[in-house]
Amino acid sequence: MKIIAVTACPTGIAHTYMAAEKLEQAARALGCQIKVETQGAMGIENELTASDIAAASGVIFAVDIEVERRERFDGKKIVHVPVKDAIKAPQAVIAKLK
Amino acid sequence: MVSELNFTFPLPAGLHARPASHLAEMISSLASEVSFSNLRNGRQADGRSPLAMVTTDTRAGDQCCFRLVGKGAKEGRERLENFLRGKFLAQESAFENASASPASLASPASPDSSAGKAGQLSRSLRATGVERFVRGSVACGGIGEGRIVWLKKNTPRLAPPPSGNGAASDSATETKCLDRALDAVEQRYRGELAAATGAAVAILKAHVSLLRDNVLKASMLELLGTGATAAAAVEHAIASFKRKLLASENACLRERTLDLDDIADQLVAEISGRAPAEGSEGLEARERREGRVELGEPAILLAERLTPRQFLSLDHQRLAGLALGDVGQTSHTVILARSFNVPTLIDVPLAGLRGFDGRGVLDAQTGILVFDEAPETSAKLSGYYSAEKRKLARIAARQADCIGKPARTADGFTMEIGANIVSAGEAAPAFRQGADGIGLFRTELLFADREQAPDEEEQYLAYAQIVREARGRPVIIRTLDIGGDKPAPYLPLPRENNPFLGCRGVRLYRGHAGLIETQFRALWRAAAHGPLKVMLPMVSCVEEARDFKALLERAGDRLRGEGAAIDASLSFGLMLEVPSVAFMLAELCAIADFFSVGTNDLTQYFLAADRENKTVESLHSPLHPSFLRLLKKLVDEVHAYGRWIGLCGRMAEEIPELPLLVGMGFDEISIPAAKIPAMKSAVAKLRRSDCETLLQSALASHTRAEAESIVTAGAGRAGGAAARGPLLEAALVDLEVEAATKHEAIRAIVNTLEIAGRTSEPVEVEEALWRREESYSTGFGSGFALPHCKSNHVSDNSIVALRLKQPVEWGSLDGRPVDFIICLIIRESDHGREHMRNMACLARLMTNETFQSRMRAVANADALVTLIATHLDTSANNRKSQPGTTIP
Repeated sequence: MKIIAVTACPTGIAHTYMAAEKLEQAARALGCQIKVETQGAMGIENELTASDIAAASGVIFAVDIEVERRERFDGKKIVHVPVKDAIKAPQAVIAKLK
Repeated sequence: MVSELNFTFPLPAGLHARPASHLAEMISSLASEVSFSNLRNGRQADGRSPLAMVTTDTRAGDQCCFRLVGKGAKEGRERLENFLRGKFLAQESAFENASASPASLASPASPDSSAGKAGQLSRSLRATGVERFVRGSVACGGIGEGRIVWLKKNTPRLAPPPSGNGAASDSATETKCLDRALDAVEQRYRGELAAATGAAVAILKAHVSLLRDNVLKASMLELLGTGATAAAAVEHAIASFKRKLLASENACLRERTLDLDDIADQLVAEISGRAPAEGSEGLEARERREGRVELGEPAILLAERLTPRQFLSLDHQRLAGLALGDVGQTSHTVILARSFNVPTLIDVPLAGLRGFDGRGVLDAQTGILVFDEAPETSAKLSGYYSAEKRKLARIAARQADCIGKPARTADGFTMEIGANIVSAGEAAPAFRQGADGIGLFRTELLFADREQAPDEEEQYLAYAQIVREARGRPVIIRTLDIGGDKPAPYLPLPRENNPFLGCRGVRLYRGHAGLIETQFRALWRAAAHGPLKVMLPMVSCVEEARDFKALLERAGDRLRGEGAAIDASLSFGLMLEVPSVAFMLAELCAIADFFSVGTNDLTQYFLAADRENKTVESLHSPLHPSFLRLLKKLVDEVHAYGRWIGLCGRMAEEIPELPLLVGMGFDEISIPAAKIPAMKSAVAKLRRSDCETLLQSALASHTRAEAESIVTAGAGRAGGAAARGPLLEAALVDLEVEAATKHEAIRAIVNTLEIAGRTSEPVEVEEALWRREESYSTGFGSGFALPHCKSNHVSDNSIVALRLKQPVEWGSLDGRPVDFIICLIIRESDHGREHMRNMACLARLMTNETFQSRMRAVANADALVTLIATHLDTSANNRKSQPGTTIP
């Protein structure tokens, strides 16, 4: 099963990437595939494509701010958590998606 | 014959001693009698008496009237009106503007940088819970701790006269005694005036003017007539004037009573025979002889008022700090405090401390005097101030490191860094901050703001002071450089349509030969004390260089003929600021020993763009390839002829442009003293070979934009053409941090940045980091925290790494205390993509347990930097980076 997620924190220097890293670690531990798009100070990286989104049943928004180009995810199930939750308990966040 | 002139008083600070003496001098040149009246309060004064005019308490906006009576009244009125609307207004406004922002004597990240700032308590200071403190304005930075002590005047003013019986001898004897005293004190003030600089000069001039004031003298003579002793006459006459000044609501007038106190002290000392024979001892020795204020232990001295002489009589070994009441930023007392480096606050409301007996801290970084002795607060304050003092000591050590060491590139090329100064008093602080010499002393200030040109003696004393302070280091003094746009009152200049293309710099010298001869003579005499180099401004042809060199030499011959002990020759050089000289270098190198490029004017003349005209701003840029090619030509040819070439314009202050100057091979650059330590560090980061490569690209470019992007790219790239600091280096790592709270830990991050010279606004950075903490804690677990912020208050993007000796509460996500901190700071503007990528990478690494344990296990700062560098290298394997002590 492929999980998709978007991380975005206000300053965009640190927590955006830490959350991405923690989600990736947690997914590996659970034996899932994951693709995390980061929206930080350098802009959108590892962008989720239309096919990535179509193939997924839902998306994790681990964000403290508005998601950029949110319209891509219209109609999708969204799990919306603060960035710190993804850092503190990433496996629990992933579980919410199921 | 009566003529009247109505006038609204224009100066914001009112009619205080300085403008009053200026006005009185002018009025004294008129034939008629002149009386001054203030129509608001009805007070009147004799226009020839500065003191009387001062006591009219005239404020800005007051309607005033000058009444001229007698011969020439009508003509006098016209002259007075022109004077008031012209010279008087221009000079006094200029003086008040200059006083409002005294020339900075400080380095960006040093104690003195807080001078004048309002006291904002940092978060960490507020966290100590401090409550009992008063605020003041910083006059001299630093931290002082000690017992709080009030100044007691120890020298009784009314000393018995030499006859010893306390009674006046006859009035004639007393009058003679008073006259002698007035003369002696005037002589002494004139001597001090000659050695004084900057704001002190104007103040001392006002002293002299007050001494000669006819109304004061008349009042003293009147008292003598009633049988008083000379000393008593002085005391009472001055006291009466003081009362009138102190009653004024004008702070500037109240400040001037300090000067009256000094005059009274001096006159009485002279009269009672306690003064030494003129010239037999220096000021400091004399003051010490007159009695020290004994401080038994380190003390913070409180005084509503402190005269310059009282300051000098203090025991400086034990003077931890000064908290003063009504003493001005531009007062002589403050000037002295700065040169002695005593932490000082002024405008402190001291009344609340009457009767306080205990210890305190004079925090002249924040701008407060702390006297809080609550037990809970004391310990925390003690911790805070210990950390502050340690930080200041490390900053001072870093600055002292610059002293005696020239700037040297990573591949071993040296470049002198000199200081640009405008007054002799700036020389000592400049050398304290590591200046290798004085690259440019602009003599114009000596000549400005006065009715007559400084005489030879006054100039000699100023130049000699600088040369002595230099102790063998080179001093370049530029002869008078003025023009139609900034005239001096005694140099009547014709009105010109185009002053920048007219009679300025050396072009003026022919018409004012006497003035220049005097300056030359003073320079020759001062050169006897050390390596002094004379530099001519605005030379545009060989004739000028030849003619004025000959004049300089003739002045020397004349002095020798008079028996003066001066050297056989004097180093002679030229400013390179008129483009024509670029094609006459062969001839000029035969005449001059050295050159200094004045890029401000050279850019202006070369690109035909007025430096003050915003519409042609983009043309007035040294990055135009044509200008860079000009500079290269100048350096190459001057060196080919075996001469020395420096640069003293704004271009030298821009760190991003430094690689170009290093690449060209300038022997020296001269900049404001405050920037010297940072500049020396910047040079150390460069490799001359890389700078030469960068220069070649810039020279080959076609447009200013191209050259600019080459320079910016060079700055961002890894390697030796980047004068900007690396993201992480050993100086930003501290593995032995003592912090008991999160506040102290965050303060430690900011201190590390300040010590490394990356911020001069630590309180702002501290605030930015705390604002981020307020969203949610950056402690993400396992004892690690990643505080971060965006801030333009740091000079370079930075990573700071701290390991705390004891873990502290951080409000972490997992509730555990924190003992390892990595702080990321990005500038809001010009943040490099590369740097952000590195930071993002590091943030990810920090979540990895293996990496975490490796970080904890590092033995020292270098090991940590290597660890991080190699991991970033592995993670982003498209970049080439050497394992070493920095991350680019």
